[in-house]
Amino acid sequence: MRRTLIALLAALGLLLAACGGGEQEDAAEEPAADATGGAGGGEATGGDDEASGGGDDAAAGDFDAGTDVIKIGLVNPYSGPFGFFGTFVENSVQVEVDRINEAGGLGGAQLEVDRRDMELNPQLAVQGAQEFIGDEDVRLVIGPPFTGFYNATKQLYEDAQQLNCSMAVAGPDAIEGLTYAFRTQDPDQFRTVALMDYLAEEQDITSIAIVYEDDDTGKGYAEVIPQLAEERGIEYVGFQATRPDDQTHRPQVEAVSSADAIIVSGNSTNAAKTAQAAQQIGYEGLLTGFSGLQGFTYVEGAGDAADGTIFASNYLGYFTDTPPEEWPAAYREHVEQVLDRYGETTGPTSGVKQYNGTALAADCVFLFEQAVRAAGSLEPDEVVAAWEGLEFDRDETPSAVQAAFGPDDHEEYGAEDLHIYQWTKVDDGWRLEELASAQSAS
Amino acid sequence: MNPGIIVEALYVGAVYALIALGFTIIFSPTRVVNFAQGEYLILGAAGAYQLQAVWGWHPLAMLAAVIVAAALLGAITERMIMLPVRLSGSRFAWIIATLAAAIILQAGFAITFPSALLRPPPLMAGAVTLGPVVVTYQQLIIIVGALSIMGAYEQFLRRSAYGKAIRAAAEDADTTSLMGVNVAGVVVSSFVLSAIITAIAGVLAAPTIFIEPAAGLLFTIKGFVAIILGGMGSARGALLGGLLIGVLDTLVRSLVGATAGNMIVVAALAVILLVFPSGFYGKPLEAH
Repeated sequence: MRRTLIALLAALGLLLAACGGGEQEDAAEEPAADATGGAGGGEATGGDDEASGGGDDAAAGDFDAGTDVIKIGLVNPYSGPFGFFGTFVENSVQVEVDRINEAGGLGGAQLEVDRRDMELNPQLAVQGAQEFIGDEDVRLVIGPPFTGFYNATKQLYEDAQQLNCSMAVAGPDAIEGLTYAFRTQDPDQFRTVALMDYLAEEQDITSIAIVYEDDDTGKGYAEVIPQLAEERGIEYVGFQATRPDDQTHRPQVEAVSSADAIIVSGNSTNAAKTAQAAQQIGYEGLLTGFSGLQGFTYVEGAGDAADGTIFASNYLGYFTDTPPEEWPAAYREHVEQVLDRYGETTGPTSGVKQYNGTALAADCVFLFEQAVRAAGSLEPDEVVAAWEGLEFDRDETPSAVQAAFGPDDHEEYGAEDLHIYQWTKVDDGWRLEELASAQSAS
Repeated sequence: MNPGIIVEALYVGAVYALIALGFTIIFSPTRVVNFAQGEYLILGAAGAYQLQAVWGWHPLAMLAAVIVAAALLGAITERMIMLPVRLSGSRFAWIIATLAAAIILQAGFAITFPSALLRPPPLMAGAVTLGPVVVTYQQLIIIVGALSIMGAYEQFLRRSAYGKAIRAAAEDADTTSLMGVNVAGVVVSSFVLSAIITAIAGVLAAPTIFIEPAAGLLFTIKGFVAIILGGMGSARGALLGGLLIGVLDTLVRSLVGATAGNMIVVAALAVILLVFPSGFYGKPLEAH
């Protein structure tokens, strides 16, 4: 009896553990903060009545969806160190879904959200994708995030004609040649250009290096940054790979400490390690990177070492001192909806606030809705064709991006949609300041 | 090569040495390799982060609370591990029991601190310049602390009655029991002491080493390799093994690079074990 009880307790413990936090895989390229770039499109903005090229005045009853339920499938991490990312995505998606449902749904069908926890495990990511592909009610899949994981699933989607929208996937070729894939994340080919242009023109950087994980994203930067540097007369110092079990990045940073600027990881934890190492050796250059540095996890981990970090990103009005009245309309609507329903998270030691949503995911739902209304159908080929004709101003999309698609362009973001931000330590905490944007430059 | 790398190697190695010491404290009377050892380090880091960084406790109060929590966790894990081991009768039951404990604790930390990096402020901010090297006070505290703990444990083993009881139980538990020593109590005390020492390592290391809530097994592996090199059952071996791992890991990677560094470190370890099959200070063990 005693042995049976102990065996049961052990099995329960293992089960609980299996349901609990998972190990972080090879450095996730784009942490949660990557996608928390603000949101809009709540109840009435950014959408039904104002979409251009997307079916003006389209109403729920304009077409018959032929089903009662339209599912939006989410493949994200919901447990482990990046568990909050999946939650943020789902929160923003739910806000958009509820908006659509309250307006009568799509073609008479109500939208539902379904999720699969990939635990940053590629096998689970593929499994989740396959489950959604096999579900006839799933008309749009969002995820998995991060280029490496998405690369493992994208051909499955394509072969099954499964409409999918990727965010937190920045790899330059991630959706190239795919018919049923769209992306609402600023891709590497634009963000790298935006950052390098700013560094060359505004920061007088003459040399640059990279300290990054040796994964798809890191290797991609190691290929493109040298070329961009050469075009701008910047010396490329080199690429230093980091390992998941590195306790410190000091050896890597010391190897490239002659560079005026170091591009750090989009994984906020690894970026924090690099920043700490830079501080330890007294590095006086600039730490820089991309939208993965926007969240409080980077500042929490790096501490004072994060002061002065510059990065390129999508619009981050919420994170700055810009008053809400000056935010683009749809962005403001969405952020306020998320704040009202799901609140915000405050970094325990930094005091940096982060609203519990991510506008880039909201964009996926918003654009899907507009494409379906324009197509008057849920058939993938028809929705794709309609999606390719969509155009929106910055005030109309939840993430405040000027969107324009085409048959050969399934990217929501263009170079003109990037902004440059900087973290600054101040007396009462931290400030994120916008230094430049393509809009203000033009 | 920047001389600062040597400091890096020493303080990282000191942390591994304390984990290795924790291994050996439990192994001596039980012959169990505790794969949940790294979770005690996480407890120390988590306690320091939550109490000091988030709640603003004084470092001494934080340390006292962590020691109490570690003692409690040590006693609990002793039950979690040794009870199944005794009841099972299988010589491999300890593997399942310790891994199960590790996974359960890891899940608990990951759930409690879902997105936190466990980095409290340093116990003493600032740095000192020693020749060409800038060493932070925290790094010095880690190195000096590890050496002090090692030395104190050695003295405890040799001079105290309880230390002698532990050594006796390590040699022959049955005979020790017949001599009137409460071997079961020695085992519990070993788990408690091991947990406290490793948790203190977590408190010391957390400000400088990036400890994530789910990283316990990673530190377990490092500590395990350190004690194998140093010799299971030897405190001096734990120190030497830990420093060796820290030096190899840090120095080789700084000179050769991350990817090749892994290969070289593992190859070096294999060569060392060929020459010293039981580790530098270990004794040949009977089949376990």
